[in-house]
Amino acid sequence: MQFGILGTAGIGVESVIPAIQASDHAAAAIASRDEERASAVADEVGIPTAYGSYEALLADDSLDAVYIPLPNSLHADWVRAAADHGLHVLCEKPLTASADETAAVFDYCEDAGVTLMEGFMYRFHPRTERAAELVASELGEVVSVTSNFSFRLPDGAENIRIEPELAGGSVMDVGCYAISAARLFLGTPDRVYATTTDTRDCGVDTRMSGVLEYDSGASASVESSFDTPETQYYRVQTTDGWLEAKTAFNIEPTASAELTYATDGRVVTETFDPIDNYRSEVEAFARAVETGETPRIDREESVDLMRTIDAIYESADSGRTVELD
Amino acid sequence: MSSAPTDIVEEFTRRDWQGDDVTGTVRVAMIGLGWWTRDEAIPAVEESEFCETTVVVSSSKEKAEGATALAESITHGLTYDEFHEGVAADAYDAVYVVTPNGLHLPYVETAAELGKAVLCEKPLEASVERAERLVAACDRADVPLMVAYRMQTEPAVRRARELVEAGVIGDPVFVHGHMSQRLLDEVVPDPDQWRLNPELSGGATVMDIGLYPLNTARFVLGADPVRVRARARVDDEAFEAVGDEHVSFGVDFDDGTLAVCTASQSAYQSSHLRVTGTEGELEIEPAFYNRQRRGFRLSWGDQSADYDFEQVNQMTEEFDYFASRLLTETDLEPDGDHALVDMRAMDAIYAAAERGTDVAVDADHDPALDGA
Repeated sequence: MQFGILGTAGIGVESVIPAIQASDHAAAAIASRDEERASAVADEVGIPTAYGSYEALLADDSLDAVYIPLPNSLHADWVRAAADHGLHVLCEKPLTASADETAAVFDYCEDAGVTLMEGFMYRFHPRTERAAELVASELGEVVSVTSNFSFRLPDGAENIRIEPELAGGSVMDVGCYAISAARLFLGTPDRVYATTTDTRDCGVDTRMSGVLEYDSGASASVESSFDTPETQYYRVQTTDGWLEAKTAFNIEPTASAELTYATDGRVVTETFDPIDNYRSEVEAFARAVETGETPRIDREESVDLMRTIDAIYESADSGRTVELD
Repeated sequence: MSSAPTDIVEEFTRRDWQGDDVTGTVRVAMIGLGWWTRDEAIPAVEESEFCETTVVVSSSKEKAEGATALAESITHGLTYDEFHEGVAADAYDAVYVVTPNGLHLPYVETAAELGKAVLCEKPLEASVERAERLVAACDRADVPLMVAYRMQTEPAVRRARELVEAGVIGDPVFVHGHMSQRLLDEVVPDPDQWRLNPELSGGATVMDIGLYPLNTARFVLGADPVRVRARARVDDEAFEAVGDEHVSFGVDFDDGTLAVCTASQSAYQSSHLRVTGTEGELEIEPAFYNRQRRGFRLSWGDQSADYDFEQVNQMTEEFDYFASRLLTETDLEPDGDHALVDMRAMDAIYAAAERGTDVAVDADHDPALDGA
């Protein structure tokens, strides 16, 4: 498949473009609003065609799909624009800035007959697949999940991650992983309570701490922040044991991944060979496009995740527990 | 992605050998009161479900009667002569023979004549010929004989055998096995001990600890040795009479697996067994010491799994296995015929070390021809 890349964001240049190039597919074109920048990046990473606008790239008939790593608030418009050109869309997380908008872009893509998938690369790591399998089949009933993705965002840096008009904030940037993991093991919560803090007076949350409650009695505690050294983990407590992963979401493609779990009088640490989970993500997306099958991260998952994020913000604003329908 | 074979390692320490219908207690006479009996066997039997120690047998009446204090269940302290005379024979159902290797035969012969079941320490005896007589004595009297290899009821070893049987590592290709300890510095600090006397031990290193990787490999593979090669070296003069202090040996198994094993009585305490197959690998490390936590790693595909499991007392497992089989009148493994294969293989290993050539493990192998 021929991929076009919308924008020159770091995650594209450093992770997803090399992943596409390592796969059986091709990164055929890249666009930036600044044509010189598009050409410079295209040369640097070995992409044959550069465009000075996103519209120009979308009009390129040789492309099959686009990868969108733009600022969060721009995702929805460019997903729709790509769909208008019949292009399949792999879009970075979070897919949009609200559950309604997420549902709307899925409607739009379904009408246009193109595949849309939200890019949560950790869902394609074999360690995550194994964790989900173990929790589903080996460890009894889930009692609680704790998950956290935090890192220190340098002070004073101009950054799209803390721009309110670009839908920045720690929840949108990294907290969504912690929430995604809670959903992976427990499903969509019935009630949410959360607090957020803006420690930099930047107009978005730089810290979030939330509790997801389930009618079953289970709960998840989710956290994110821009104010701590890097922490990323999930831990699942079950009636028969527990399961834990560190460096759980964003792991170097050269690093082994470990998953530890306890059940039945044994503690097992499984070690997974290094793998590029961006490449696995790209290949899974391309396979879904080619076969017409629903991608692993489907509409329901993306919409429910965003409903949970909406509820976290609503609870943080109102100071009250928010019920999800 | 291939899944871990979790159904096999589920309940890692389960006693797959124990039925639901075991009731009763087997009363055991301990023959020989060395440190192993005092520190390992008697406490292990106290923890067991189906055994109790009722009789202890030693060289002197004083030593034997003093040892009756080692467990509340012990009612009789006998001398070896009293044992041979059948004194207090109705106070025990089975014997555990823990004398020096070369003295197993007379006690097993007496136990067989008395109609007692026999749990005999490994190796079976100090020579193939005496081991054959030992097995024959039990066969003649029709008493059950089990050899106390200890590893065949170790959960890590049983799980390894099941995983190999299930094909999880593909076809086994290689075994690497190792066992070492510092006998004189850390285990038994006596240069005149029986292990260093060839008449009593039959060999110091292969017979005492090299046997662990050999026999455990046999059990895990479900295969028997057909051909061996070996080297032995002595550094410490205390080992000159036995001739084997540090040993390496290669074993060809009848399923095609090639094994390389090393053992030493004068090296850092260490033990492992690794089975490499076409599709994966199993490693038990530490493997063979009851006093060290056993480790277990399975590698397959792009991943590996390290198991940290509830450790068992290997001696308690062994005694409960022995007793539960007696109580249900079920066949015991490893039996005398199984142990004779090790005796012949070790005889071939010593011959190979001496000759510097390959030696076939042959039931008819005649040690008298070793120099030929």
